[in-house]
Amino acid sequence: MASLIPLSNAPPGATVRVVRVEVRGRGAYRRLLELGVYPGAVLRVVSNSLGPVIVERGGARLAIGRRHAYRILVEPVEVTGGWR
Amino acid sequence: MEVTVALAGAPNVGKSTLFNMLVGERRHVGNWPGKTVEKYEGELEHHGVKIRVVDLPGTYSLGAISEEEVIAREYIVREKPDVVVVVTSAIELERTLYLAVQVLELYDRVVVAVNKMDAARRRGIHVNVPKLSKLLGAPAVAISAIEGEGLHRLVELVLDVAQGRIRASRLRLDYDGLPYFTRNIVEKLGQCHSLSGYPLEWAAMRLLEGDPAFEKSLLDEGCGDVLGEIEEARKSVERKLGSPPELIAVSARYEFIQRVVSAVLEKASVAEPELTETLDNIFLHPHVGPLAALSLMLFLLLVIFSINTGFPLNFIFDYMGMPGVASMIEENSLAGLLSKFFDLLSSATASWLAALGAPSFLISLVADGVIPGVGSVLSFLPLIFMVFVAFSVLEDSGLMARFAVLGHRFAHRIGLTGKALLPLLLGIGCNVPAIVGARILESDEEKLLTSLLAPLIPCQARLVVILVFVSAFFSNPLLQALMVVFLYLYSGLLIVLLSLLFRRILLKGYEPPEIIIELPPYHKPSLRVVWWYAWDHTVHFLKKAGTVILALSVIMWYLVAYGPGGAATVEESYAAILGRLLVPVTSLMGLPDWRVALAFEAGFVAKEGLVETIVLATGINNPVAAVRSLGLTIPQVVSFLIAMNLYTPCVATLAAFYEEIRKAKYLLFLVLYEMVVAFISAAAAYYAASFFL
Repeated sequence: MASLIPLSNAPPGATVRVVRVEVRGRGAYRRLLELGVYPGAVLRVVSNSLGPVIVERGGARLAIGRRHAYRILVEPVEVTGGWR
Repeated sequence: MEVTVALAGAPNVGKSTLFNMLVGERRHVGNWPGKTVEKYEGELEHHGVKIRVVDLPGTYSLGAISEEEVIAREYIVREKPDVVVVVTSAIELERTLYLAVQVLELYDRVVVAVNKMDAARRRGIHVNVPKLSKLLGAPAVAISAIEGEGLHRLVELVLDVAQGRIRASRLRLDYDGLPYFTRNIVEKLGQCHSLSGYPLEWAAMRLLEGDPAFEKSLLDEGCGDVLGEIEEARKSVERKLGSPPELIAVSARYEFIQRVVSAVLEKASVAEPELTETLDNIFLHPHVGPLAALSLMLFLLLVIFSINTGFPLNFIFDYMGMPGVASMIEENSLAGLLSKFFDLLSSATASWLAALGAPSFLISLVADGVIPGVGSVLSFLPLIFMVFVAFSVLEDSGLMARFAVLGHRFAHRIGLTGKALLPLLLGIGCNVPAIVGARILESDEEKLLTSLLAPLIPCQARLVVILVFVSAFFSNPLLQALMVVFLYLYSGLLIVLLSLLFRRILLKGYEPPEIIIELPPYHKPSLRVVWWYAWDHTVHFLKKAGTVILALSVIMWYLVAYGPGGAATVEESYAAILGRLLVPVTSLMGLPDWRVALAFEAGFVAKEGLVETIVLATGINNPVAAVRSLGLTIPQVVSFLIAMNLYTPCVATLAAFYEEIRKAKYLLFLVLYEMVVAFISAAAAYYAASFFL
């Protein structure tokens, strides 16, 4: 199994699979799950610089604040360049 | 026969477009009882049946994460509408079906509307609606609200369900072992009454997932011992199934949805380049994005305020040495034209009343009190209208969500989300739309914090006072500019510091929200929706804040025009008496002149009237000369400008604040904190300046 990294460290353009969601606060945790960020979901990282991380899932784009993104652990699905 | 229909749907599925297309002009906006969330209702008629449409707040789910979700589910369960129409989006079917599944688990009279079929066709997406209907066990219909497509069919289906010709069945999902753990909860819930109306298994599942609203009503009812049971159940789920119950439940719903979606969705390859990709490459770019967003926002600000008040174009032209152009812009702005019209109206009415032999009190009341008051209310309307046009276009096009993301980096430092930057920026022009505009924010806490901070932003009216004073007392243009910049920077500093303080003392437990925002695909806004949205908010403002502004203007007129001896000059008026009473306080800021205290009074009503009051009190017609005749020293000028810039901007702002927040204690807090901050800052600046200069 590939090593886990926080979503906040995933490079733009990468495709990742969510492994664990450790976001604190029931509201935020539930909201993420309900918007489709749950273990097993596959996300494409659209942009990740300063500020919120933008991911795409099934055509829908989602901006996730960095504090949350740091607590979402993901693994790469396919190497599209950028993984070091 | 009357049929009640509730519209449910996730944000950005085009629900408000559908609502407006269905009911047209026959709609009204209000608030949900006891809440700050807006409630839209409307009516239509179909083959002699009157259909009442209630637009539920847009929600992603029916949990209790947000107030909107509680409102939506309480409405469905308590009011039992004849039909609930769940609006989903063909281009984001998977995500938008999530709410549909929850509604179908809760209620059986449901119609599923698959919206945005036009956009889906352009993207080569086909949804097999009959199959969807079969898999969900509820009637479904393809529509395009913006094109008015499929609405007839939708209404027919609604009537079929309402009149019992079609009946959906409640959806039952396979929750992977969870029902085993809810059995005990269901049993216990049977003895509690606060959740009656909800299917007990539904409520039990919610509680197992964690539901603060349900937990609270159980506690209030004295059914608190169920909560212990629930906590136990949560723990044993985690122990035995290895995951928290909410994760298992959400996964089960998505598993079902994915099965449905893969069965009904046919996607041809998309040839057309996606607008969303292109625009997001600009707006989400780390460097270009913030720049593009800021330029767009400042451009909007420039257009809105220039049309309404001439600001800031009038200042720009004035400083470029073209005062003629500047005053032409100002006179032909909406506010300029309105004030010219009301001046004419008031003098015409005065002479007409005099010719009729009306008593002078009445003439003055109408000509100096009521008509200018109405004028000042009306001068806000185009401004409010255009602000909401802009907000609605931004929201509807998908740009607002991008701005919120971009601004978040900066805004979360002052405890706000990126979206709050929009109303705050408006404050530079006028604090009233800033506070009214804060209603676009999601949480009540954030609305309150934004509305408390917005009045610190120097508005255009205060800039005018600042400019008159610096031109009267500073001869060096560099010093003039430095003073202006200093006042703006000081306001900015206070916003940062006070935000910190307010979060400590007022909003304990409030965490600067971390955002999870959906970025909807960009699309062309519907002009009808934009028009209606802006119109409704303008009318709402006129009805609510307008009456308060008018009443206070009339009171202020009376205080200035009358004294203990009846009609009076400014010097003998009630206002002057009050001004003299204030002198001991203003003296502490180094300002012992009663005319300055009187000016502060007038500025409490509106900063526009501050300089005019000095003109009246000194009897000198040129504003700059009148101000200069006060003979203030530099420390006094600094003290005055700081105090003027920081205490409550105007009664219109206070009226707007009260209408939006609806709590007298916060209004009082706003007035007091601004007075205290203004007083301390001004006094400190006065003594510091006196010491160094």
